[in-house]
Amino acid sequence: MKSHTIELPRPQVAADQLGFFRFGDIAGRVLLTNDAGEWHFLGREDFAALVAGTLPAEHPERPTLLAKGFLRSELDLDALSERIRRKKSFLGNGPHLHVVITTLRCNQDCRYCHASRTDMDQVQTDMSLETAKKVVDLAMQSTSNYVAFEYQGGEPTVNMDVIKFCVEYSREKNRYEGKTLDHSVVTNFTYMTEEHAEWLLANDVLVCTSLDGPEELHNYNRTWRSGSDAYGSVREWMAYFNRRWIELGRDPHLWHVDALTTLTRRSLEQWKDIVDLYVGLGIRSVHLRPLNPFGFASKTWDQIGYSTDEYLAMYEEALDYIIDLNKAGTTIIEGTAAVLLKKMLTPDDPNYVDIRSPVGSGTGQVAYNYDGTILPSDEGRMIHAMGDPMFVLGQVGSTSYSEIVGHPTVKSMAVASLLDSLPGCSSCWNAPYCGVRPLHNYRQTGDLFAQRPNTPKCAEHMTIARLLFERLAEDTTGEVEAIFRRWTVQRPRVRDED
Amino acid sequence: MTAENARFTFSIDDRSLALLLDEALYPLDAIYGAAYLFVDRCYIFLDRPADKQVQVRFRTKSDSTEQDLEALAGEFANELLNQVLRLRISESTKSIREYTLARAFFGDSSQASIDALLAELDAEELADDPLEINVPWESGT
Amino acid sequence: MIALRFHRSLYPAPAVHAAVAAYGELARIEVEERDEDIAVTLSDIDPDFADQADEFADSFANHVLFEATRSERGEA
Ligand code: SF4
Repeated sequence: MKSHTIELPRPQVAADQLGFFRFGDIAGRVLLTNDAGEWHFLGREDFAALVAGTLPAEHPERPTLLAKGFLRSELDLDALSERIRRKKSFLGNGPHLHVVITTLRCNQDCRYCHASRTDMDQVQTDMSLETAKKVVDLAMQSTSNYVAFEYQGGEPTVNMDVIKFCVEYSREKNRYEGKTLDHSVVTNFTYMTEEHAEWLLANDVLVCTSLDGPEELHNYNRTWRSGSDAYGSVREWMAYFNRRWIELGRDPHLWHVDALTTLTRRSLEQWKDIVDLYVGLGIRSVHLRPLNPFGFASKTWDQIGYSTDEYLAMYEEALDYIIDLNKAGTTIIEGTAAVLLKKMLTPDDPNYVDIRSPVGSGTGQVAYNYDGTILPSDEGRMIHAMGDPMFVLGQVGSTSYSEIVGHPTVKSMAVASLLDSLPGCSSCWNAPYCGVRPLHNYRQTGDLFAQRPNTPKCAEHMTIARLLFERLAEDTTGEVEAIFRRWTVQRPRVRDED
Repeated sequence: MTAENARFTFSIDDRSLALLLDEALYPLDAIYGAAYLFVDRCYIFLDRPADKQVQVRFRTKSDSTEQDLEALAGEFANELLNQVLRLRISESTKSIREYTLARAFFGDSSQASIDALLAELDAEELADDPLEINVPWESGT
Repeated sequence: MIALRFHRSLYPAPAVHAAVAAYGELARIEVEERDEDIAVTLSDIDPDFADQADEFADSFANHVLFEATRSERGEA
């Protein structure tokens, strides 16, 4: 047993001169953040002077520190409250995202798809029109002025009748409700027909597809049962929709097929090809999300999975490549970065249900299974499909809107994701921008809480936020910040003639 | 800037590290907060060898050299000082924070939190402070 | 069999009980609440973990720390 001693400077603290903030070491400086999402970098010595109350009155950073609420003198509490209110305005909204599982049937058999699909002959997993009506009746009761219906499956277009019904019936109901409605379908395109496509186009339904990367990678990940070319089909239909929207006079910046990529082990090696493909196709956003690690047989995971560290190493390289593309004049956004940057660089919150505090499960989004079972999210549906009823919130037709948002499970998830009260998070510099996933925790550990430093989502969000702050800290010309600011701009997608 | 240094004495052994802390300098909440951040890398155990003394024992989850353990001690000590600072800031700003959050979420702050804030300001004698806080309800808002 | 001792002034009893509930299916856990500390004995550890009994006990202690931290922050 060896004995050692270390000595560290003990900070002097004049706490009565400070506003509330959290802090952390980033890029060799100290980053301060607060409840309104404000942030500021200080050199270590300036930080020590700030907390010791010895920052000179004429210090050049002082006015900014004051304006952002890091200093107590002349702190305008009402203005700060107002900024916090705006940041957290989603809290008063109610669920806006309503995920409708029109069927579990799917004609693909993707390597990473588990427990959420059935074969094409399993017609009993189609949602009935009667159930769909109850879904719309319930979703339209949301207190949110904005309601987005997202049709998923299985392959949702296999049950096109339900999509058509939901779109038409919700619009009919909305003549009295006056909400802003969006409809989007997440399709693999393998069941698309010209008739369906024209209906979707004529009815302003947004289309999002899965595009995992270049042909070989996409077809490897997404086995199409009939042995046909999944990749070719996606490319063909993307081109079709994009061409038709232009013909219909829509702004292609707003009306184009969005694509999502699912990253497998192979994708990690080919991240650059994926980004290049997206750029080549004119897709303006690529969301490099890690594969959800839970629910796989270990053999499958060994084949397609990877560690959080491997993912994050890829992410850093890809982020820098994407920034460089933007510097060279190409607009391409990385999805997770865009969510975090909106929190960092604007007074608003993007209300992205998976990265907010508290989490959106049940309060920002609701999922409706094909049989009308109500769940707090698609991940809740996975857990339900694996035989665990923990997250069932009720049944359309018999459960009221207030019973959903007030459900004890929804409340527990909110408590388990309120960063201000979670150990580790409550004092973390990233708390204003982060969000934890109680359902993820539950799958990983059997507990909605979970030990934060051991959760992959903490490592992911902390590293990505750190990378973004590092890039901002190193940005002497303002070029990167200008690019990042562009990533936060979302224009409303209204019909051009409206 | 730093009137005094903080001294940490620790002992290291195979994959393990033990530090003795004085609770008068390091409140338990700060010790918990700092120790907790290491649960991904270490197994941690707290013990009380004497009144107001807390021993923190770490056992690393994977093999570690003497240098690794020294670095771990440095990291923990640094984090502990940060946690003490965080604690001081959050204690001192508790009422301000309650006020702003109540006002942000409920439209108006409750009388209770206004009272608490006034009490805190009194306690800190900020009335005489040139850097006086702008108290909004005084101007009738 | 592994014996652990959680000092009451450092680990609140509910934190120990929460960890017992979380680990209860994986071992036989006996808890004895004494004046100064709470004594926990782990035995019959699940065969999947039996060859890493020390790690199992250490993970249990980490869980108690986690629960203690959580209650210290005004939760639980
Ligand atoms: S999850 Fe991790 S990164 Fe996010 S606020 Fe909590 S501790 Fe910080």
